[in-house]
Amino acid sequence: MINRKYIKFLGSPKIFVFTVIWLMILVFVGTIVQKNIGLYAAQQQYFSSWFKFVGPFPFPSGKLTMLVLFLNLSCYFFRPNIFSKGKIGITITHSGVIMMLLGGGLTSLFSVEGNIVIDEGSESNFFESYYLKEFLIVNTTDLEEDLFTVFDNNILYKNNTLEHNTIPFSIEILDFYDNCKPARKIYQSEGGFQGMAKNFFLQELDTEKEFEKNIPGIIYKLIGAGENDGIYINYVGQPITEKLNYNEESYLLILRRQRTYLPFHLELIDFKKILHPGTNIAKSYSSEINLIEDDVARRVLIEMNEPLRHRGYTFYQASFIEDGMKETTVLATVKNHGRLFPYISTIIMCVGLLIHMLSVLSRRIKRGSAS
Amino acid sequence: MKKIFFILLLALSSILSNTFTFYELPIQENGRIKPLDTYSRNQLLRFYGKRIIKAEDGKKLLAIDWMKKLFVESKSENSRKIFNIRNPEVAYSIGLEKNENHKYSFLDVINGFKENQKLLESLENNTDDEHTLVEKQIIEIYQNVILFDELSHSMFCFLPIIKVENKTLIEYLGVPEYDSRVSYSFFMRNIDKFRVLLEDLIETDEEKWNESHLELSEIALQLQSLTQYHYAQTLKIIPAFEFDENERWFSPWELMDGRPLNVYQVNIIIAYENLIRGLIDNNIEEVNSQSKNIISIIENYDDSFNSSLLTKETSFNKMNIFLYSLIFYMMSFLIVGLNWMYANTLFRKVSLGVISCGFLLHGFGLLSRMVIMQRPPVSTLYESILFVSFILVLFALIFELIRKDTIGILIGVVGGSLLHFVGFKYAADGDTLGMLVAVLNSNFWLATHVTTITIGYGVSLVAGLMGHIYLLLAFFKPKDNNELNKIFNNMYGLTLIGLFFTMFGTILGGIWADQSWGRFWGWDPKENGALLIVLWHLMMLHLRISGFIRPLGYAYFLSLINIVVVLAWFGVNLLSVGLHSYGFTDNVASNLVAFISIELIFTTTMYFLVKNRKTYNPKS
Repeated sequence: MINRKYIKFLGSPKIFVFTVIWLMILVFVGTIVQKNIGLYAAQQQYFSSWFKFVGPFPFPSGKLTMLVLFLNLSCYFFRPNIFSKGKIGITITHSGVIMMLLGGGLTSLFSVEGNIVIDEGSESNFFESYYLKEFLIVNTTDLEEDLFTVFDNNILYKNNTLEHNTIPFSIEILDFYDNCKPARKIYQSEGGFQGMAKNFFLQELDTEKEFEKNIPGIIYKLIGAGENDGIYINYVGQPITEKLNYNEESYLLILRRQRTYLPFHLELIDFKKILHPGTNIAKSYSSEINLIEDDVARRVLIEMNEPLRHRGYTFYQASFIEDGMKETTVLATVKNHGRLFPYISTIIMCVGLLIHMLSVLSRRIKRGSAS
Repeated sequence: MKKIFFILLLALSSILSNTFTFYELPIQENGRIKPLDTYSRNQLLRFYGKRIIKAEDGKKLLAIDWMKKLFVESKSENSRKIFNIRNPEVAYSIGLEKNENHKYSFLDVINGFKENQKLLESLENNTDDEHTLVEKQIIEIYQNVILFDELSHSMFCFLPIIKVENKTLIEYLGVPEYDSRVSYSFFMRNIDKFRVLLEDLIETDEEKWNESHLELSEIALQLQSLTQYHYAQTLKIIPAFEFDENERWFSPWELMDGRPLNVYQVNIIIAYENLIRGLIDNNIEEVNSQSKNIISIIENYDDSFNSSLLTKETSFNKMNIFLYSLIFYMMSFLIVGLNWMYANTLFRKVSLGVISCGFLLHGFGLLSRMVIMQRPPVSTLYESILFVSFILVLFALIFELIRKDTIGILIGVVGGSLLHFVGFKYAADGDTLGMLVAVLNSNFWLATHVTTITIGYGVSLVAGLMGHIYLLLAFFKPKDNNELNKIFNNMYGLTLIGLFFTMFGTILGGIWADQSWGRFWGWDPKENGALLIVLWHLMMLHLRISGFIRPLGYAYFLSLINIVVVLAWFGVNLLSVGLHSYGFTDNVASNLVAFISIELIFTTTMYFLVKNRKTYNPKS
């Protein structure tokens, strides 16, 4: 009986009203601040996190608010008479909303996104994350095969030490910057610096509003690599890769955007851009692609509003780069397990609301004819 | 009622008729083929701030007639006060004297710029976002002056200003006998014959030149001096004739560089020569028949060229439909007022008829725009204003037909008229029939998502106005419980309908985003704005069942949805343009703030006034 009491409390429309008002405040503030901090940061602070700290005080952020909404909604289904004639429409609508929230949860937990950049005439089989980075050490000793050791984004933070049994040394992260630029040292510094760090240092910068434009950088200390020990710097897009030889093995040290490899290749045959005649406004972009899987190639055309879907991945025409004669296509790539939920839940909600509106209407008419 | 049929009939007849005039001359601008009429209006709007010139003697000059003059009397047009510089600071800094109506001629402005060369140079060195408002306006005026200069010389190559008197030359070149004056373009399309003459001229010793040689050398000098106008290439009126609808059209001067012309282009050039001659002679018949000729040349060649759209667009321009629908709405408002004063049902019927006329015209205007642009009704902010007000009036009319007590009419005329005014403000910004960027170029999604969400806006506004009506009624007739309950029920129904459309509009938008760039939801300002409306509706429904508020509170909160809608609709755009970039030319932000404060003050005052009335005691 106590359970029922809790459920009734948790599922009360009063709680819904407070939560929805809080959500409106979040959405409003989260929209306004985008002007100053950019879309990505606003998303992280107001919507994709559990708490938003204002000074030392934690306020529930988007994720927590949605969870409360979800629980509140779920309790609706423990109410009596929800399948009665007058309530069936509302019940159906609520189940649609539940599905929607579930889909949102799934998407935020499991979806991977990034973009794949292909020059005309060449091919690629991986896409790079917009936001996440990875630090990797490649053992290139074997001429036939390279051995990759990859440290993920979530362990790349200040004062963490990276170790793995595939590498004989350990890496102590001295600092990690979301955005930085390399700058030449004025004085040759005292010993202890290796590679590019001998002549350069990383200058931390404020993060850009468009998060993709940031250049992340890492400063770390190599320990246990003999005379290679010392302080190194790496940043995304570094022109010269850091190399070292230790114990007759050779290694590369790289910081790059997190890659996800595809079980197939994409080759760009031709990129086309059509303008509205006499203007610079694009009418359409399209990429003619060879989809190569098991050495069998198939032609596909990816256009604005016409993506390619293959093996759970979706490729969208997102952007392009023109450099003299060379054309390069940029395809946004997403793997999202929750992508069907909005479609289904929309239909359910639509049906539910229509039924409810009709039942309200018919009650009105009945009452009208009775009086 | 008769009058409206007359207007509709007139509209219909002008659309069905297919007589082409100077108005319909096709021109390519901003990626679209449009009639010269629209083009002239847009250019005039850019320079003058209005689509029609009011001369100092009080006479009106249509944009197209101004364009005619610009083509053939450009010298005298240079001193017409055509540039509207409203900001005195700008006028002062380019050395213009104050004048009351803020209008300056081309010569005024260009002389001002000549004396302030350094200012211009320094402005050109800075990037756009470093400029202050005054600097931006100076740059804009400079660009306008350049454009005006180009425009006034763009038809120069068709002007018959080169005299050919020598019989040999006349015969050899085929100069028409009735007029010995020919244009620059005449020589360019007869370039092969002309080349032979020139070669002969060069080979012959200057001392042995005969009469025709002498005249030829003079002609060559005149042609040489005309080439200085080669830069005037803004008027794209001649198709490439290369079987591609995405082909860029050419301006007359572009074709005057001695390149080989195809037969269609030559024919069009000839037609334009005759047309300009007709303009000079004030021979309207000739002008119109040459226009018709030009259109049929293009039509016979290019299947994708739809000449009937040109006629439709010019008659759409002429009719100024939305002005008339506004007039009807306002008339209806007056008649409703009479109805309240005299409580006569006849007035209600008349005002219902009048608002319906306005509504029909309104719909006809939307339909015309759809036909002209060949796309669904809503794709720009301006179009969304037209469409939302249409939906608002539609729902208001439905209410009126059910309730029969003028409340529907009241909602319709107030909402419809206000949005008309907002629409006129936006129309004054420039061409309202623009092309769309690639991602919007999808008729399916424009038709589903955008239409649904704007219907949602419209219904939400009706709901908000219904809230106002409840507050007013509760104040003036607090004892009329029956009526108040009815309105409360209507408010609830409208919330449901509003939720239905805004929610599915928003979700459809998410699905479009998922289809187009791979994510359903990205918390981007426009999406959030739509979400706020949905959440507000959800809050309303649950406020009611949770028992937090009574009908009066419901009416109060529902009234506030107007603010949410307006913020989501206009406020969001302001955010992306930049909150700091508005000046006094762009007063959207201040209007928005004014609207929100007026709404807040009105509804809150009404709420407390009614709440403290002892006679107000509704049984819900």
